[in-house]
Amino acid sequence: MNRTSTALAALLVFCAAQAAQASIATWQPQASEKLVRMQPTYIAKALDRDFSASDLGTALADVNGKIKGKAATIADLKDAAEHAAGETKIELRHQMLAEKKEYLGLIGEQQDLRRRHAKTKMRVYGEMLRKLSRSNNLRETEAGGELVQKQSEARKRFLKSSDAVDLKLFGQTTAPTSKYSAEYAKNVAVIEQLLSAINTHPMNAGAEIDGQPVSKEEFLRQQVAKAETEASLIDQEAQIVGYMAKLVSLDAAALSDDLASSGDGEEGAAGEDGEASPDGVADAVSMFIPE
Amino acid sequence: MSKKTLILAAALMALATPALAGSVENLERERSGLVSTMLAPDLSPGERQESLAAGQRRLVDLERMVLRDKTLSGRETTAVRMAFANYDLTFLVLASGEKNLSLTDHWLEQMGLSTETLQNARKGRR
Repeated sequence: MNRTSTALAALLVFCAAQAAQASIATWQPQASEKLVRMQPTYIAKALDRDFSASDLGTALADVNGKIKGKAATIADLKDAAEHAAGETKIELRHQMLAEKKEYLGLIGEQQDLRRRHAKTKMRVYGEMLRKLSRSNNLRETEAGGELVQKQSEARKRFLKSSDAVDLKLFGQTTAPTSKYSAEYAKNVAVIEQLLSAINTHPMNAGAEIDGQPVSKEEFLRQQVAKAETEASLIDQEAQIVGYMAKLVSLDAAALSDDLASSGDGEEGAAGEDGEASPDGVADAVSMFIPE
Repeated sequence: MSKKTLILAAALMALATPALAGSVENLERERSGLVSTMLAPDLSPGERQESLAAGQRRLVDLERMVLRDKTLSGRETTAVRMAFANYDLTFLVLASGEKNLSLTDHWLEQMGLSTETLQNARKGRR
């Protein structure tokens, strides 16, 4: 019992220190005009790069590494406990419990960091969406729509009367073009060619979702929805961790019980199979549920 | 960096500065020249006719350029908005050709200067 209490106290202190470090890790990207004007695929990449370089990104990478290491340790201990007996087995079970508690502490920390990551992404993408909507509204003002209509009407009127004007001016329906207009037409053709090359350039590719091209606004909305889904999944994983913690405390109680009743150490460790380090929380469930 | 290089760089930068002469601006400039010719008091009728004929040919090219210029589509500048606000006043040659009027008659009509209004004009205080 004393050993368990000491282990628990040490674990609490350790987790508090880790949590303090993780809690000060921040990531504060801004939805700048430059970011909003980027191509959609580059917005996502730029944000990911910024996150990786931030304190929050570093802390998350650090925690992920520790989780993998911890899971490997637990797997090793399980394997060792299966082949051990007597005092050694009890010691190994005790160590395994301590490691599982640390593991859960790290998972909790990871979830907190991931939640912050997801919420920050929601905020940034939401801001970008608002800025984009605002600038789109400015472009598509009533005056702008009216201008395009007038230009279209002017062109139609020109096309209708072009031959009559040529006949009146030049005495023929095909007007001779001046050198200036020929040069102008040549330059316009070159400009159109260049614009076409720009639009079809692979680095200028627009956003796609499920292979379908989408507007920047739609892309940003999808990113917000993705971040919201991530946050909900994290909340669900927190529930899983809660149940795992409950199982660990029950295992600790079982170990105490075994020690109290002259600890024959015959009870084998929970017959978990020595799995390789799991990646997700759900994958780690076999470390906690006995066969 | 040597002095020569600096001067060359400055010259290149100046060349690279885009001239403020879009198709609409060119049209405005040519049209204002033509209107000045219409109203020039020192030209004889023959000289005015010759000048206007040459000017019309240049102006019709520029009018066509503006109407075919896709880069102007939706471009919210004052010049573009005003140019397309009144077709008859902006595209003088095309509009006068449509109505089968001379350029001068068409412009005067757009300005509200008919024979009747001129005859009814009186000098006095407002």
